[in-house]
Amino acid sequence: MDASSIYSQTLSQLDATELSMTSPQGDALIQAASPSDHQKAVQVLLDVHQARLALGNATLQSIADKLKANEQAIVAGTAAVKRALSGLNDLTQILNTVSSLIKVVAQIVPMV
Amino acid sequence: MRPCKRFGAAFAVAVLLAITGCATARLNRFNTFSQAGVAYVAASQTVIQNAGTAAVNTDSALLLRSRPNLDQSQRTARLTASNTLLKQRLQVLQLISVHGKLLQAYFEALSSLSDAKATNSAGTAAQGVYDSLAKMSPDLKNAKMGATSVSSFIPTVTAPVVATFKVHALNEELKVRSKDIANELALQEAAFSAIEAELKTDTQEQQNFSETDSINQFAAEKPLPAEWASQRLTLLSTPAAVASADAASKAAAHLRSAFTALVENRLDSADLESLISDMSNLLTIAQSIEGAEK
Repeated sequence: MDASSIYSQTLSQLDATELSMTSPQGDALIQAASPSDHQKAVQVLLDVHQARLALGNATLQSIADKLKANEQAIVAGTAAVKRALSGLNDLTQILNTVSSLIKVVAQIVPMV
Repeated sequence: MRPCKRFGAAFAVAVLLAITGCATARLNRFNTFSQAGVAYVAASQTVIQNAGTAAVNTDSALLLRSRPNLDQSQRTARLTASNTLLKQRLQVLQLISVHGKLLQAYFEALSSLSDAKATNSAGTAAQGVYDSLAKMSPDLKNAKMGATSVSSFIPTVTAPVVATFKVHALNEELKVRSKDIANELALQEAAFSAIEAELKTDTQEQQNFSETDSINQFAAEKPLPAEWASQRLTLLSTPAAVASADAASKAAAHLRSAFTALVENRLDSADLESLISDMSNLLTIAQSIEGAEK
């Protein structure tokens, strides 16, 4: 299992824990607990939340780094497509093809 | 001889048109794919923005609820830690958003090049070539292909020739960059799966808080707020933001499979229809999120 899979699985567990603790049922349990347990539960909930934020950031940052590494290719691709579009505006190749076709027709026309 | 020669010329033109007709069809697929890409990036920007907002709002709601149980130093420490983490979250989402704009520029360039309608300048230039040739061969001026004059035939020929040129350029681009683009779309899918998980959790947590408040209001002796019943419907419905996160990662995955099919020249009209449907779904959700935020 690679690092990103471990990140992802741990993050899913933290997500589920936080949602369970903040659900109406989880909240009712926390409210009904003794003052010291209640205090502990609030601290644990905040710890889970911060761990979730930190791990989520690490996961997104690792993907963002890979996206960044791919940026040069995207920019080069955009430039290449734009160059092809400019080339199209030069029309040389199109004109050559169209004029060849017309020349063929021109050779046949006098015989018709 | 004459009918045969006439048939030969007509056949040559028909073959040319058939070949270039295929090019036009492929060009249309390129165009639809690139427009789907543009739509994907535009809608996914809304999802990214929503993810940042949801992260901050959920954190604020949780801190506010926990505040009575924290002493002064704990409050300061918790808020400071959250602020640091949320700044990082917003920064990384911003990085993904900025990157998305580069991808959008790429799809827009592909879309411009694959636009089959953009052949007016080529048609005008081809007409110029015909006019010069017609001066050299006066018969050409009155020549006909079947019932159609050669002159009026030129725009019909030019469009598919332009299409062939464009398809060649697009195929070359695919040859050079297909691996990078497939990798990019896979990363987009991974990014939106992660964003989706966090956006879902944040949105559901806010909904949890609202539901708990609604239950507590109902259980208390105090009179219920006037809007209690109407708010209940909202908190029991799935928020648009939860659906949007699913739609974005699904759209990225679909875009990737469509891209692979496009590279392998096996993207058919049913695939395109399904791709457009996914992108429309994502756009609709993005619009409903924007509408809900106003």
